[in-house]
Amino acid sequence: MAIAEDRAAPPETRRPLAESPFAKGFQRMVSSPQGAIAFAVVALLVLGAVFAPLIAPYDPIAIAPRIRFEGPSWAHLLGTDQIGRDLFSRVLYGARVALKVSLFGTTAALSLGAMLGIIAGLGPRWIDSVLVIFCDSVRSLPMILFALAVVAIYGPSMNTLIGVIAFSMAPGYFRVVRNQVLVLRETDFVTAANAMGASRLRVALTHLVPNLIGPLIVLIAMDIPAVIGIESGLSFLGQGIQPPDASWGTMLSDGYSYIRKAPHIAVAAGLPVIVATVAFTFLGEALRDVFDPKSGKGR
Amino acid sequence: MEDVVKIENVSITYAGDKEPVPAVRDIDLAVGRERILGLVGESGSGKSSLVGAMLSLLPASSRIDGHILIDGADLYGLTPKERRAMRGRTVATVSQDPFTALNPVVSIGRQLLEFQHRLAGSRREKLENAKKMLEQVGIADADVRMKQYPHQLSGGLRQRVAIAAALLVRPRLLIADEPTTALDATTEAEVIEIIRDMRGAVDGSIVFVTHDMGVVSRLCDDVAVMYAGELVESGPVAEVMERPRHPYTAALLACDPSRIKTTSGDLPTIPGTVPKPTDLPPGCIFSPRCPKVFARCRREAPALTAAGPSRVACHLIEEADAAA
Amino acid sequence: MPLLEVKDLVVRYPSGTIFDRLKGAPGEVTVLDGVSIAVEAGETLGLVGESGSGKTTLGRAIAGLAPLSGGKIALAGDTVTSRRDRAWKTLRRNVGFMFQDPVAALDPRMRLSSAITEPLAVDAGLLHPISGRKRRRRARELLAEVGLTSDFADRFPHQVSGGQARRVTVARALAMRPKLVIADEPTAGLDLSVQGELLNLLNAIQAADDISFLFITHNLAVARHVTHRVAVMYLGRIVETAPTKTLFSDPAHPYTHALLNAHSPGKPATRLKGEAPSLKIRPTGCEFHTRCPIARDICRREAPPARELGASHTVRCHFPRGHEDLHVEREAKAA
Repeated sequence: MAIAEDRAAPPETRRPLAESPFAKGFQRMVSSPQGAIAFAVVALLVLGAVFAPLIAPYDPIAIAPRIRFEGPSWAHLLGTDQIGRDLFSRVLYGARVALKVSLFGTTAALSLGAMLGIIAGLGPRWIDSVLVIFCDSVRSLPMILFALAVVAIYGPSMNTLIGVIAFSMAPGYFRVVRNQVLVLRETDFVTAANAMGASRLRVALTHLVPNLIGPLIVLIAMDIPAVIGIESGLSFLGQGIQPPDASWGTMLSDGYSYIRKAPHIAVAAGLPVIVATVAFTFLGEALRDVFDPKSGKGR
Repeated sequence: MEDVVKIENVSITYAGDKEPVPAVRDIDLAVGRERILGLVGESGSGKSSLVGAMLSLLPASSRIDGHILIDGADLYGLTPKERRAMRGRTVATVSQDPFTALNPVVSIGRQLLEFQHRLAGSRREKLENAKKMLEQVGIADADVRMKQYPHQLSGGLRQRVAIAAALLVRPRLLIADEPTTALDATTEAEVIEIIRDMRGAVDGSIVFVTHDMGVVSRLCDDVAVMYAGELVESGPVAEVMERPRHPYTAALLACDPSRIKTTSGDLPTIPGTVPKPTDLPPGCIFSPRCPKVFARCRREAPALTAAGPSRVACHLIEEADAAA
Repeated sequence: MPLLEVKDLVVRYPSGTIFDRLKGAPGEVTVLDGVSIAVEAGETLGLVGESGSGKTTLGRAIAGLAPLSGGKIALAGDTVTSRRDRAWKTLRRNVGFMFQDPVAALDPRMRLSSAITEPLAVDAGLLHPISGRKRRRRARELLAEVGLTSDFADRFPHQVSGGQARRVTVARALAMRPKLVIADEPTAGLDLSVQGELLNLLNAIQAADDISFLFITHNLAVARHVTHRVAVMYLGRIVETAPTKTLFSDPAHPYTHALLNAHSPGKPATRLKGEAPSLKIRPTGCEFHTRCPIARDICRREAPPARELGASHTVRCHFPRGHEDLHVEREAKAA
């Protein structure tokens, strides 16, 4: 059938942009309701986080002793906490922290993991073996315990947090990239490049990276909820973002202390964690459908 | 003479993405007792769909119109259970890739035993049958092979085991779906010879699907040529090969480099492409590529008409008859 | 002087696990065992043989894709003797390679314009990238040469048919204006009615640019039409080389004879005994003796040397068909 079907492939349109795989992929991603909703929620979260200083009605760390424990109202959409800080503003600033940690954490983890993965996949056997053993050891460390240990040494801060996340998540990316590279380097198109005399660096840049990006984007979207969880968890334990700075974890910790007296604090802090986690997971799944060649007709 | 297979006005339509895809249209074909029919066609000809329908292996979303009678029983008038029983007993198949047809983790002997599960007889008799059959298809050390696993055998041996497996049930109809495409030339020649030798073991007839006219001429009694989902010509092999009446058959034979006596750097081709089943030309389906096309071909689809011992779907036949 | 000269080429691959080797199995498999071929400028040499004969490995070795364990490859003044040889850089400019599976040979995420001009970009080096506009223009020229319209430049591999992908790989093989194109099973998977188009295209290219082809195929009918000379391979060795006409009319090696018989319509095929042996357990003496219908004692003991039978007709057989005078000589020597 191949010949009959493909010769009749749609004639090339004048607008190559509409033909670009990204535009097409985006269309396909938002074509399912889950994908569209997930994308909208994530977009809202990102916009809220980026423009927090403009949107937030109050200073997230301004104390107002007279309006402590107030429930939701028009003045304070999500109410106020035990020292009268506006929860809505704190949620927005908390999103800033959560997304910043996720973004920098996963990007650092990805860069490190991908680089090592490509080196392991293309390099000599012994380098591969050393890297695999090392990364598997790192992966076998319990993440939270490891994080607590690092925080105990370097002290709690956002940078420590990002560092811990990058270090502990990189081996996961390493694994994926290395295995993919081992598959890709045996493909005919990489062999073809070798026959042209292409250097390993060129093969990595022109063939490996473009073919790796898809699966990695999916992986990142799937990992962001985990990172948000780690950030919130460590902050909740007092080992992450330090008060008075707003973070969903520290807010949850506050809410936990006053759960009987003012349950709305815990809700205001907990909901964004749940929503963000679910939204990123669904986005990841929608993206996987886009990048998985088996899911689409590709034309 | 009673026909083992009778295909009457069979059309196969797949549920496409946007619109139904009529992959096979209105096929009328019969395979006589103890005959080997070569089913020939290029990609997009619909031959695989037709074979899939004969083996009742088409996806559930496809629609089959018309009747496929095997040994008088209407395949699609049967219950699914009866149809399954038929597939293991009355109809057997040898596929293109013998490796996927055999279970990689079960020994050859055991698999050959299992193939006979619908037959009567003791385990020992069945094993004995299997061994005999392996010897008949030219496997020398059958005892050793029975204990081996598929991956320990070469491609040619595996295909011979697959043939033995298909013949064990003494089927009324053996369908060989391009069984030699994955094989080397010398192995292919061997497999073809085995099938020819073994035709007696088939209690009925053989349908041999291929795109290789050379194989057809060496093995088959009859040939049916399909193009873009329709039957364009059928008849005895010698007749069709010597006097191809449909322009497509003629062009296909002309394209075969092994049939061209004098070598030259300019090989014949059939210009144009096979039409998509969802976008068929009006009139004759071959008209856009036909070198002998005339006005009527673009208007009106030709019906299959008798021409000598062959049947041909071409207006030229009628025109010639009218002239005579 | 021929354009391409391959002399006594040996290709060995490491094989087996460490445990196999401890049990005494050889640590290597010899895929090519002293292969010599020559291709003249503007000539098409067919390389035929069955799977496992080493014909694809020979093609790959000439494209620098196999480890060279011995012998040399010389092309248009560049000679290489190992995979890391410096002369590869210049040698590669003169070699285009067409893979067996054209779709797999194209990066699914690369537009055809980039894929076709990849050899140019590789040759220019990472530090001197060629502009996208220049590459697209060159791609359109190359597409035109292989009979595809310029709108293919912006397509991705999954948007073209098998036959079109085949043409695209031809375009890529031509990008550097090579002197030699290695075509590995260029008609595999093509329908008969399309196959001719591709072969005619290759012929036209050869006529226009005086390009040499190494045409690897198992299809003898195709080889008969498009090659000038044919080399027949069996188990990693060349058993017979002859002008195409001579080879088809007077095959001297019993293996060539069996191959031709297997393909010719009408004639009953001469059955070869058994299966081709594994490369790991190479037969002693003549590698074909285990299946040869005319094998004698000497064939089991002694590997036949390459012998000239006539104008550029060589055969490795103790008892070549149609050259009985040579038989006697061997028999006498053996006795």
